[in-house]
Amino acid sequence: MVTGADILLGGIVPGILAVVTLALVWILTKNAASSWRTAAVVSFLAGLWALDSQGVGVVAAISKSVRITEAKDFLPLMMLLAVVPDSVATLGKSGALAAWLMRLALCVFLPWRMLAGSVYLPKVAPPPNFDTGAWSTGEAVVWLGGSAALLLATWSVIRAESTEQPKLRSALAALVAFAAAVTIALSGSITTGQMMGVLTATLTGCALAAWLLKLGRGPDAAAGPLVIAFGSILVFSHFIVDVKLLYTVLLVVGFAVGAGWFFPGKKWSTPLRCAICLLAIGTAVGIAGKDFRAAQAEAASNPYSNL
Amino acid sequence: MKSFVTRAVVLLALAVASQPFAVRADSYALEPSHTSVIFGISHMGLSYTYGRFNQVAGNYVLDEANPAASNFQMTIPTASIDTNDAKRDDHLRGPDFFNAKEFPTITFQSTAVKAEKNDKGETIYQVTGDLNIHGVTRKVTLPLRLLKVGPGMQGEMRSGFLCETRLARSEFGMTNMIPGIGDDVAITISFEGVKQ
Repeated sequence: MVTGADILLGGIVPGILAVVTLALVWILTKNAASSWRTAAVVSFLAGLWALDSQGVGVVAAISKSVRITEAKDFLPLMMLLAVVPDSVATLGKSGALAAWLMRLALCVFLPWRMLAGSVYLPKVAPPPNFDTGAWSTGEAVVWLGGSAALLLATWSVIRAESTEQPKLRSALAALVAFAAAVTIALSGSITTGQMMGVLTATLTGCALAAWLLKLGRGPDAAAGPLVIAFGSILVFSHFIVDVKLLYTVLLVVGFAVGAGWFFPGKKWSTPLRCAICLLAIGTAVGIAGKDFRAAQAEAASNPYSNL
Repeated sequence: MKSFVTRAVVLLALAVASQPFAVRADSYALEPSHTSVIFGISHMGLSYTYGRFNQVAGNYVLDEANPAASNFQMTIPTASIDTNDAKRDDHLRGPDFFNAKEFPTITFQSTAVKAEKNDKGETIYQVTGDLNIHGVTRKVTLPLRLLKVGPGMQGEMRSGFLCETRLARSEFGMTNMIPGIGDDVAITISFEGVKQ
């Protein structure tokens, strides 16, 4: 159930804030990367807090990001940390090396921290006969290592392309985030879908402002915060919401191909980029929608389901 | 005087003999097949939807003579929620509500117990303790009405309780879909324990 207030607070507010912030920082600094990063972080966090503030107030919503109880409360912290490596990378060769180490550390830390204490990595042994599905050490290494590798690879691909078709890449990134929001909502969590909706609004606002101001940069300018926000929500969605692995991989492929490096300079690059991106997200949304309708039909056809 | 002492001793012996059941601290393990955790919640003000948790574990120490020495502990796997609608149960297990993958259990651990009698002469244990739901721990006081202490079908010693209370789910960080889905949740817990 998405209300008008949800659309206002999680969509319109972060979208407008992204446009205004990017424009302001650009006017003040003429630095495209700083403009993108600041707008991405400010509007995404504001959108998350605005959504969370419903019923509890703004202060309580912001304090959740400090007194963390749920994995998704880590998102603001992760996003702020993600600004650091790309900023450090500008400080010469040693800065570039330090930036890669930071990216690696963040990509390893993120899935582990989000899942620590969950059924996969329980802090306390469950009572006897309670099957919680905790991972063995091998499973933990595979899942956490795989997630970290996928995050780092996506980050590398997004930041690798800084000149080719920034408008198209910005638009495709926003479209993938929207498709991810729909897929997650169809897979069982409206609130997690709304978080991806905030990222959609953020990307849309940034893309619009960058286009209007002719910045000549796309999502690569805020690669860290955007990849970490997108990745955090997908990690949460796959492991906590139970979004299928296939959908998750398709969305990551769509995001990496749509927003990142993709054979620059080749004639076939643009149509193929668009085709792969749209096919990936179309498949994810299509199958998730089919699963959703099938589950609804099953429930409706069972006369004993809701006596 | 001798006759008085004799009478007093006999009366005391009779009093003790007539109390074959728990008069000191006895440990009990929760018996899951006679334990129910049920909740009811408003659906848009139109109706109340009721659900239950199908798995419960726990134990308690009951000291009728010294209630302060009693203690109660209960663990409920969140994923065992059942509202007679599989799709709704999946949604309730997800992060929009209980977030069972992140918070697999609901736990209660008592910290203080005191006994009182209600106007019907029944014993009510006011059990104060830490209730953890959805990763949030709150101090709550649960009124446990002692239903009976006595032998079960196999002659084993049992005790049983009924607790009816209300909680605000928002106090446990479950704020989604309020007020459409009510904030106020009616809880009924009834359990039997088998003396260890």
